[in-house]
Amino acid sequence: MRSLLLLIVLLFIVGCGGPPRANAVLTEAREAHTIAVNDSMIVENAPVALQEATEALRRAVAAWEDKESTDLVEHHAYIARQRVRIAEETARQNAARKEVEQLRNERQQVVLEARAAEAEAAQRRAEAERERAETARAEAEAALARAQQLSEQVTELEAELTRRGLVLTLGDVLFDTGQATLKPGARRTVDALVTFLNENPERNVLIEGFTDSVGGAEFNLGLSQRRADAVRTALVERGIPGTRIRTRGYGQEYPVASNATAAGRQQNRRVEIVISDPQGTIPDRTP
Amino acid sequence: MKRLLSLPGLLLLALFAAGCTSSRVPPPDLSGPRAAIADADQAGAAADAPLELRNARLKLEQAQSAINRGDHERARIFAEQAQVDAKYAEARARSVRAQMAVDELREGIRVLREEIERSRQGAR
Repeated sequence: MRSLLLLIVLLFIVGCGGPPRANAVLTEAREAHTIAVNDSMIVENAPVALQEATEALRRAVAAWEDKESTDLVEHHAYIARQRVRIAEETARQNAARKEVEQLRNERQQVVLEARAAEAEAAQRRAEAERERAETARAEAEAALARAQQLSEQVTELEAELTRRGLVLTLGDVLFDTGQATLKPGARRTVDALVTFLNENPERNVLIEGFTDSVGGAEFNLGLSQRRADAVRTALVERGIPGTRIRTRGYGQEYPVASNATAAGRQQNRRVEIVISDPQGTIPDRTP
Repeated sequence: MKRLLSLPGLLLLALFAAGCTSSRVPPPDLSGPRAAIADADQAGAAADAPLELRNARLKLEQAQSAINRGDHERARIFAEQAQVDAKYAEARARSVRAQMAVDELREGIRVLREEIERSRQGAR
């Protein structure tokens, strides 16, 4: 009888060994559910799915409290856990849908912005094109005016356009006979040349002196050089830098008329002023 | 005792014995889980939630096997799980697709913004 009583007591102790151990699957389901319920994103976006998850969890807890089999409790806990997942995914889907709506509106705005920017860019391009055309036109006009001005100046100078450039000829009458002094009559031509050189600072001059065949080659060479230098001096006195002026005496060489006649000889007695091209170059005289 | 061993008696006994070994609950209706799997498939789960869809299908097979061997209780459990797994696969597929739509739109907007910036920069 005593041993039987002891057995009963032992069985009782073993049977009631404290509260039942928690089921891991159920605990996991509970924890996942708690997190979901406290996630405002899920609460806002999937309230129905969340409610279903809560109900599934209740069934699982009830099964456990009713001491149903572990298999059954874990089955219900599994269902609850999946329901929580469904609530999460449903919430994500709905949140994404809302975002798609917003993004569609945003894109519309940006498309309008893109169009406006493109219109602006096109306008700017047209503006730039107009400016370029305007500049080109102005430049062409300026070039034309310049050419006209030059033409007038050349006419003014009474210069002749030759292979070597513009050539101004100072005749014999502008010098005293056998002398290298420039007479006052030359002033007009010299002034015209000074004006021309001031208005065309990129051009230089080469002053070449010539004589007729009378008087001896050596004398004539010297005279022709001195005459050329006299013209140079006249230009320098009027402010033209000496660096822009070269002189050369050719004496009897390069006659332009026959030395047999007086008229011819007078023609040969001359000073030629060659004006360079806009780059400052004067081609050499060909022999 | 003699009565029990007669033909109707034996029949009664056989029925009683059969009742003890087969399930007392009816087998589950598998049309629910099947429909849920079809829905998930329709929602694109094969591409966007393949593992989840596969789980649902496996459990459906296990439910059928359980029915075939007369274990209706187990079959009910598998059927219920197959259905919830299918619903999960569907929800996942839908959320994945919705997220792809978001990503696509974001990318589109980014590209547009870059173009705007480029055409503004080109002006300088």
